[in-house]
Amino acid sequence: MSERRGRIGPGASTVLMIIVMLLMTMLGVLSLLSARGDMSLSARALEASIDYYNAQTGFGLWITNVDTQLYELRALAGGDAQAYAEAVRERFSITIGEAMEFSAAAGAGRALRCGVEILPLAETDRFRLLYNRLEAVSGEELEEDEGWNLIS
Amino acid sequence: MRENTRTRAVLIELIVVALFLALSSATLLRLFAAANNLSRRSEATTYGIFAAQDALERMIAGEEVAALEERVSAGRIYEIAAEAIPEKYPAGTLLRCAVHVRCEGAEVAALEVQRYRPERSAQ
Repeated sequence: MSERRGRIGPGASTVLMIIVMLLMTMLGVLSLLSARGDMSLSARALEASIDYYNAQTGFGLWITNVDTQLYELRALAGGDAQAYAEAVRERFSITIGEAMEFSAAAGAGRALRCGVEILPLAETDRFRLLYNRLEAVSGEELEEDEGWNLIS
Repeated sequence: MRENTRTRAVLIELIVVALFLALSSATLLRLFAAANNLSRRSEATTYGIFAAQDALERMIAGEEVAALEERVSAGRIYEIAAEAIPEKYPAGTLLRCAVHVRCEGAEVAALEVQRYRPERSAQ
C-alpha cells in the first residue's frame, strides 16, 4: 500500500509539462515585450537625433543667408558705419546691436531656438551667437504642488 | 495484468508529453530567438546613435575624423563612415557633415548636419 503511494500516477507528467510550458511561454513573451520596448526606445532616440540635427541644419542655412547679406551690406557701405546701420535696418528691420531669432521644430514637443546679435561695422565679426538651445514646447503649463518637485 | 496496463498507459503518456514538449520547445526557441534578435538590433541602434553623434560633433568642432573607422562593442564591429563637404560662400563656409554607421552589413544609424563657419571681415 505504502509502495503504491510513492509512485507517480498517470497525469502527473502532463500536469508538470503544462506548468513548465506555461512558465516558459510567459518568460518568452516577457522577453519579447521587453526587447520590443527597447527597440522602440532606440528608434525614438534615433528619430530625436535626426530631428535635432535637421533643426541645426535649418539654423546653419539661415545663418549662412544672414551672414552673406551682412557681408554684402558691409561691402556696399564701404566703411561708413552709419550707412551700414541704415542698410541693416532696411534689410532685416532691426538695428545694430539687436538680436535676431531663429526657431525650428526639432521633433514632437521640442524646438531649437537660436539668437544672433548683429554687430557694428567696427567689429571684425559680423554677428555674435547669443544662444543655441533646445526647448520643450509642450502646451501644458506646469503648476507647483501638482505631484512634481522642482529640482533646479 | 492490471499493473501492466497501467504502466503502459503511463509510458504512452510520457511519450506523448515528450513529443509535445519537443514541439513546444521548438516554438519557444523561435520566440526567444526573435527576442534576442530584437535586443541585438536595439543595442546596435543605440550604439550607432552614440557613434554617429560623436563623429558628427567632432567634425563640427573642426577635428579631423577618418573617412572610415571601425569600433568594436559587445563583440560586434561597427563601421563608421564620415564625410564632410565644405561649400564656400563669400562670407564663410557651410560644412555638410554626414555620418553612416553600419553593423553586420546593415545600416543602424545615419545622421547629417550643415554647420556654418563665418570668416572675419577685414573692416
